Amino acid sequence: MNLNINGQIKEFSEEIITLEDLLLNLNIKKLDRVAVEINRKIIEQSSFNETVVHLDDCIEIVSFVGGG
Amino acid sequence: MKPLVIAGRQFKSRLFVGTGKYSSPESLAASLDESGTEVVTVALRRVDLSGSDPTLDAIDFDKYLVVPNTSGAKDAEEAVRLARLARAASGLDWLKLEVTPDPVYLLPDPYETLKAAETLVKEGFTVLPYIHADPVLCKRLEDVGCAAVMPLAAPIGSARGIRTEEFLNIIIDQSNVPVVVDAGLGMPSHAAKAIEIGADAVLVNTAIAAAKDSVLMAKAFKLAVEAAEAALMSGPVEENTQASASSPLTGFLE
Repeated sequence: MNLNINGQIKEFSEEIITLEDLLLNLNIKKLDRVAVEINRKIIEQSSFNETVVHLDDCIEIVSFVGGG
Repeated sequence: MKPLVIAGRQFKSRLFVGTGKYSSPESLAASLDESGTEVVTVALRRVDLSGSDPTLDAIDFDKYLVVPNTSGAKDAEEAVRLARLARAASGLDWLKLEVTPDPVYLLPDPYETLKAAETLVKEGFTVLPYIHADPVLCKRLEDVGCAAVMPLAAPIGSARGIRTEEFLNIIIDQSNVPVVVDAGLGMPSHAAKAIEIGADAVLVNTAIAAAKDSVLMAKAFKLAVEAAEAALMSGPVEENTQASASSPLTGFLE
């Protein structure tokens, strides 16, 4: 399965059904500190485990970094 | 001095600290602790898919009010998008709004900032806009419901000190919301000066983060801000062009 994540095409051999599966597969641990857009729509953290990702979805995953 | 209250929340420390540019997560954590700050800013970026940014682990979200910024936004539309993402990630409505299309001086775009502020206030954000020291713009931002204004002292990271004093004076005189002097403060004396002229708080990042010993500089800024605050509360003497003797005016051995 190929997904467009943060502007890169990533290939997954494992089964990815939900957004939570995807984030865990990407080794993103602090799910309460990330925000995700799928096709420019923000997915609330409480919906990560029920949001199904689809082929060709354009996904943005952002989090905090140091800044002024 | 009035207590510092922004959007109904009271703060003891008038020193806000940015979290960029530290040499290590350990240095960041120790500097924040030493500064005595209660408010820290962070930026929002794409997650690095090859590994997580350790900066985040150094910031205690329970200890500090973490205020995301919209750095990187070039117009109002991008700022609003970033703000919504920041809220989704932090669960908090607080936002440092910055729209800086110019990459050389990083000066904020007043028109786009005002447009974004209007939208974000309506969406329930507590908006703290980073802007030029423009008294008219500050009033406009206050009118649309910003919780504070953050005029610059000098360009971001320039360490040039307070170059906008005349206009900061007017902003401080007119403002009904707290004034947080942001950007360009390089030395503790600059922060003290900002508080002495009546700013409610200051935001410092580069001066602490890029110092060789960030923890020591964090302490220096903390002391400077506290010194200025204490001085204001002490009832300082008025300036005078003539001398006023400190010793008795009677002649020697009279």
